[in-house]
Amino acid sequence: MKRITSKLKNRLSGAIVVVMASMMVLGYAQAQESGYQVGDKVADFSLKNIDGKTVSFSSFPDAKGYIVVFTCNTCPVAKSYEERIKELDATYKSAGYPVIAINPNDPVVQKGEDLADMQQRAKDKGFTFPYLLDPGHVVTKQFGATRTPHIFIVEKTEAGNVVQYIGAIDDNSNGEPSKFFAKNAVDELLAGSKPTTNFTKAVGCTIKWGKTI
Amino acid sequence: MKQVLGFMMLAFLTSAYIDRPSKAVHLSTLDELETRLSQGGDTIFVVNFWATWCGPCVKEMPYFEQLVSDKSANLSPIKLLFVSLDSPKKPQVVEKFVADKKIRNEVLILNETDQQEYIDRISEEWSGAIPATLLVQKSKNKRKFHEQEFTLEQLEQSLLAFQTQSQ
Repeated sequence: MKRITSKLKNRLSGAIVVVMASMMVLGYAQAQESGYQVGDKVADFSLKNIDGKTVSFSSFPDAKGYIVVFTCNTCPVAKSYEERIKELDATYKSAGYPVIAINPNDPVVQKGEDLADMQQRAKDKGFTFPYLLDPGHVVTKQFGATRTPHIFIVEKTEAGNVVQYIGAIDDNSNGEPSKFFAKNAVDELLAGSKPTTNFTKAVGCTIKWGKTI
Repeated sequence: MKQVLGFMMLAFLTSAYIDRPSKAVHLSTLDELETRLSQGGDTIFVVNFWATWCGPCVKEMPYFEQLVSDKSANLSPIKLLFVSLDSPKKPQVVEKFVADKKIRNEVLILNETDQQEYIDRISEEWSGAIPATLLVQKSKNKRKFHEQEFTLEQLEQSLLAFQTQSQ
């Protein structure tokens, strides 16, 4: 009993430290959440593609908008969506909405996510779109992506590039989807209206943040 | 006869105890889960959302099992629930995993399919990424959600912070 009591006391006296630590963690979590919301203007970015070339929004001068997908090599949910991401590119690139894929994972923390792995994956799966590296998670944090896959549909307007949809590609990662959120959103944008559903959630893999952050 | 009965009784009790940790995996709707959490009184429910396909989830599961088994470290009774987001149509995938990994605590499969509904109901703070963990203590009306992968140390601190926070 005595041992337990002293242990308890130790633990309680450590509580202040814990509370301070958790306040720091909370602050960090909030920083993570502070990405784009629907309606926000998007700053252009410049990231290296797996072929060594730099890609940004301005690489697509004729685009009406962009389908930005945070995806990776290793997450089973992201992998289950690869064919559907290719389909989006096949359907909408010619209509003015190309897919731009960004890998948000730190290759040191998550094995299988480095440049060579990405090149191999893109080759094996026949990616038809850029697959960009984001060292230091700069663009991932700018967007506020939290998981893979995580999709942001951006419309090019006279006032700048504006986020019009954030969330899932559809409502089912492993079965037959019944709601095609991303397709519907792009179709509506192409028809000159705003997406009816502009924010969805989905089960996915956490982003593997670098240890130095 | 008496001896045989006694032996059978002993065998039954022993098997009941030995079998206890590896309870069958069962399906649970979110309503059923929430009802359980709301009837927990002073018990702290540690609800870990995971999937067999999620590497970081699988990695942190032993930390949860280790911390809840250390009774002296915890101020309140603790109940750990591993809630799997694997397909409820294929419970055998989870059952096999639980047997292979010798998971000692209770494992449920969330019997819901509409992610647009259940993610927000569990926590509006949740983007859907796993692993994620919910801490609930009904008697003190406390509910804290973490969308993150824990190290053993981080998990210990989060549990302690939850126990010592007032409301």
